[in-house]
Amino acid sequence: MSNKFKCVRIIIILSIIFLAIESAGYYLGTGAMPFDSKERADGKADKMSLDGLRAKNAQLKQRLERLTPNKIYIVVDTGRNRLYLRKGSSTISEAVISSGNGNILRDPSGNRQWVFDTPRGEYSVKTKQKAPAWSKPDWAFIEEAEEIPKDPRKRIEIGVLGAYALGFGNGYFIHGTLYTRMLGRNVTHGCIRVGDEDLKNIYTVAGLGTKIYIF
Amino acid sequence: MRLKFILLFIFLITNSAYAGDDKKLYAIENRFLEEELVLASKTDTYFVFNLREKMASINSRGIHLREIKIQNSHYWGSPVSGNAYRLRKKSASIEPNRETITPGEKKDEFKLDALELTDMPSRYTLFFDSGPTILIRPQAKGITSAIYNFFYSSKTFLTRPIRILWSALRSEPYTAIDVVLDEDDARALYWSISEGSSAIVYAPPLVIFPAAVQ
Repeated sequence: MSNKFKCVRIIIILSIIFLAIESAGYYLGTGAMPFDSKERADGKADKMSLDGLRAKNAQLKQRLERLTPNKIYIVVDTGRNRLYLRKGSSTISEAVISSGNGNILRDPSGNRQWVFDTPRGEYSVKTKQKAPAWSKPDWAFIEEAEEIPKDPRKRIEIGVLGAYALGFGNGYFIHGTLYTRMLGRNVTHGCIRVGDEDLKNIYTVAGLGTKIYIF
Repeated sequence: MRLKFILLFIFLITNSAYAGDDKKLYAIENRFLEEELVLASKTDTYFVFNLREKMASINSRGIHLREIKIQNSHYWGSPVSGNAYRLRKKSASIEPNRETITPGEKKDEFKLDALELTDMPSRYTLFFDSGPTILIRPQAKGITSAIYNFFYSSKTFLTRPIRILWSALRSEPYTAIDVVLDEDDARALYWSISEGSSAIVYAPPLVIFPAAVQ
């Protein structure tokens, strides 16, 4: 009986300690200000009047807005496989695309490796071509277990890139496709494939230097 | 006459307190805008977790490439600063795997070997360098995810106070932010954010927004 009583006492004491720790932690965890008060007490900001702070706020927002291209730009969502033509904050048109499949290819005879992702970040249209020909890179031969040709003419393939191609650097293009049923899926080696009609529209609207934002 | 004085006194007190709150808000927002301007001057994509407006965004050059609605959030621990944080690690219990191509291998026409949005996890943790830990989880849809979320919340409410107390005793800052997103948005964020990415966490002061960021 006394052992049972001792056990209950220990359980109660441990529960009280646990609850005390929990309460202290909870108080510390939720009682703090989410924003650092030291940061907030910025000397300059404290000395500024409300009007001064408002004016600075408007000025900073303006500076941010000024970074947005004033011409048409391209936004590519590689996750949803969508391409948007935008001007300012409004979307002019939307296209279903195919982007990088994320697979890895290793060169069996060397130390080279390719990751077939569509590159992300800010780019610009560097080249524009009508009826482009594809100069197959090394990985295209390695993937098919074919010998890499020494003659550059043997790399050329006609018709696979569609009617137009817009290059944005490092061998990456926005181009057409023969595999339109794959639009909306991640199937490419990093390029951005677009359907015929959308590609024509993009080619017409986007000039050299048009900004491309890929995420 | 006395009543007029009392009313005037109350008006002046409340008005000055309100102006003070406004000042704090503008000072904080300006601090974040300055930080965003630094990030926007680079070519990399960056992320903004605006807990005040319940909105996360994927940005580049100040352009909102994609906006993601934060369904719910809960803030724990030390305050965040106005600085941009660098993502040190993103961690999920089941991480997506990339396929390795075997040269010359015949491909199954009906099987697509690709890393896609649907392969991304919707429950994961983002660890920022000397900054907050952001725990992303999907909004409960159906009984399974509701049960999972219930157990997750119970575990969090039991273990996190201990973790916070431990950090406080060791004088180490610890901030954890639970963020609930729509399942597709959670996957999209995992897809877009990569280790090394920069993020701004816009957490308003508790004084102005009680209950922190419910």
